[in-house]
Amino acid sequence: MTSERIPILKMGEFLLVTIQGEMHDSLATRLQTELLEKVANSDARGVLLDISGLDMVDSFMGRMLSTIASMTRIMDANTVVVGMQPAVAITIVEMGLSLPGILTAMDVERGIELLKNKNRGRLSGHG
Amino acid sequence: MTEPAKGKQELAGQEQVKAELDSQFMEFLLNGLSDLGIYMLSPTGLVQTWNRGAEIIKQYTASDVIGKNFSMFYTEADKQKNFPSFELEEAARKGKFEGAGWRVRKDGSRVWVEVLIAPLKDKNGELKGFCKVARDATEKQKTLELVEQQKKDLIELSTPVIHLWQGIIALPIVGTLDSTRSRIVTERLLSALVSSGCTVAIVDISGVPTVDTVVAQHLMKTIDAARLMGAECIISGIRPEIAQTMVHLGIDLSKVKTKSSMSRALEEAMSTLRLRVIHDTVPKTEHGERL
Repeated sequence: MTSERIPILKMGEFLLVTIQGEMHDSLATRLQTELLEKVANSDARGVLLDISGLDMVDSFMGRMLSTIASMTRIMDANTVVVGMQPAVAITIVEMGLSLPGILTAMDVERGIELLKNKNRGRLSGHG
Repeated sequence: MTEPAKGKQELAGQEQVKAELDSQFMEFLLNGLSDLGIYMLSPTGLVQTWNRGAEIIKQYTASDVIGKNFSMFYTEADKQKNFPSFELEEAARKGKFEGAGWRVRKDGSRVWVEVLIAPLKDKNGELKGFCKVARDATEKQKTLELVEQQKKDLIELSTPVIHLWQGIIALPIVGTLDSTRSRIVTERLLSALVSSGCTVAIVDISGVPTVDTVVAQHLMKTIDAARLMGAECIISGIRPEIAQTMVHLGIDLSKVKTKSSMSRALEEAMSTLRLRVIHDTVPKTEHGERL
């Protein structure tokens, strides 16, 4: 097991995860576990997954993005995938993983805006 | 004179005539065809003979080149890649070498030649040299390069990316979309989204006459890829024929925003971005300043 880990930062009511460089399978699995724990512990309302530093993806990574999104959603926190590079987007689509339910944004700022809008909708829905 | 001796002499005479004719024929071939450079090389590539065609193509006279290595006609880049000796080795191994490339003339200008090199061997199969034929194909090559360049220009011209409004880009596509072009459209669209930071893209296909399955699917993939990057695509200007094709092909456009015209698409894009254009009722001066 490597000691490598991906930092999960808390920004107000959201969590920010910045993925950079190569992402191997064990690191991805570890991130998934840690992120879900953090969502539970910090009562986060949303997760921003910044992958702007990622130049390549494989099918494992593509599926992981979608599983993380589904898992956090049932834990009451929406995940927004932020800053996907064109080449990565094309690869994912070519692999036939169009990640239908996933929320996306161009940069972190827009991601936060999107999450805030989602949460506002939720509040007004209750009120 | 005995009969056999007479016959022999006649034969010798015939052979002499034949040799004479052969040499005239060779002379004609070598110097009559002035658009072909024909010359011989030693096994190591030193120029042995030089004809008029070679002189016209390369501008060097026989006295300039005889005894010199033929690599002097090659560009620096080709020399560094050891191209001249590679061509001779190939010719010696395979029995001939055919190729084309830029060569340098005496005045430093370049000429595109198509070459054929054949090895010359003696009865024992020992390599004695090479025969090289070169043809000036500069015009042909220039035409080819021009066509290539125009193809690129055409793609460049036919796929502009317009920054339409704050946060909105537009790609009006004119002309037939084939798979090469639709790939270029995808690349341009996605990279424009990143570089401009725009989140809405309007793809206007009112100038596209027909769409086939491959292109339609490609279009859908582009829209998916844009969505993954956090942007939204609106397709505008779908012609009746294209609408028919799309539906007959079973392409699902229900999740894609489609608008009849660019202006409606812009309206939609602005409402997505929560932008509104307000009709300004405040009177203005002649210079456009508000009173």
